[in-house]
Amino acid sequence: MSAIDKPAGILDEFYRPFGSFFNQGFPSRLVADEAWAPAVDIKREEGAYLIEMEVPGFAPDEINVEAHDNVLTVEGERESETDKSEGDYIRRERRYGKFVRRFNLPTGASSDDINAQVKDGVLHVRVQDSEAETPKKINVE
Amino acid sequence: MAQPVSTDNADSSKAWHWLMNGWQALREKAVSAVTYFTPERTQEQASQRWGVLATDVTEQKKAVHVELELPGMEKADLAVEVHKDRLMVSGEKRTTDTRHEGSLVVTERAYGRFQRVIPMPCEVTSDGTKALYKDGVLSVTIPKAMALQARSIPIKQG
Repeated sequence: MSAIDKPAGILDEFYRPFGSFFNQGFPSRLVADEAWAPAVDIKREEGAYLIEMEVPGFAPDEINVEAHDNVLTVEGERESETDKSEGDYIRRERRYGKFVRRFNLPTGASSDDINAQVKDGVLHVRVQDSEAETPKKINVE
Repeated sequence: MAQPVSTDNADSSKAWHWLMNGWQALREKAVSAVTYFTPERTQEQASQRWGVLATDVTEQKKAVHVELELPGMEKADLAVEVHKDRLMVSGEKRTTDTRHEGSLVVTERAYGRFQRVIPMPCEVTSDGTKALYKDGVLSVTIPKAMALQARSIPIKQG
């Protein structure tokens, strides 16, 4: 059984895409038409969340990662390579233009402590979450 | 193929054909990009079985150029085979070591063994084929069979 099958408040909160109409039970990446949404895996590690997004062929400066008001936005834009490659297209399945994905950050996540890097066409974003592994102790008087 | 409910209505018939043509075009364009991944490791069981392996193919004067999106792979886990009429790309996309059960919140990416066959627009040859894996994109340039290459013959001054 995958973790995604288990309802867990903070995880749902993390994943729920920003905006309501993407959230009708369809994965947003299948619904979005004009902009596309690359596939992600999200993992929880010690005190942090790790987002891995598939962005093959993107240069680091074509990707923008931003955290604002507890929403993490990952945007990318690339031009079609028609100018670079000579020849006629026989098959064209790769997507060009713009993609946007938004994630609601969990309450303990720190917007200031986020780092991102691209390796082999995968974007790794690490979000520190102070509440992830440190349960609050409540004294009973 | 299913028939429209009311064929006597010209408008709905038109709309139906428009829809079917659009669907057909979409199928032809993209359906072969959807690739089945066979999970081999236990930590891959939770991942998606179907992934999109988007490919661009361009025909140039002397060669066919193919670009496949294969993010997050190791070069050693990829295999490229050139046949007369098709290119075969296979491999295994592995999960990272940090992935363990319970730590996954969302899994949209596909992992495991896969294979994709890309038909060539003309006869090609493996001689001189070049393959490069960079930034998660596999680029393969396959020369056309010699007989098909347009050759211009230089004319010497007598």
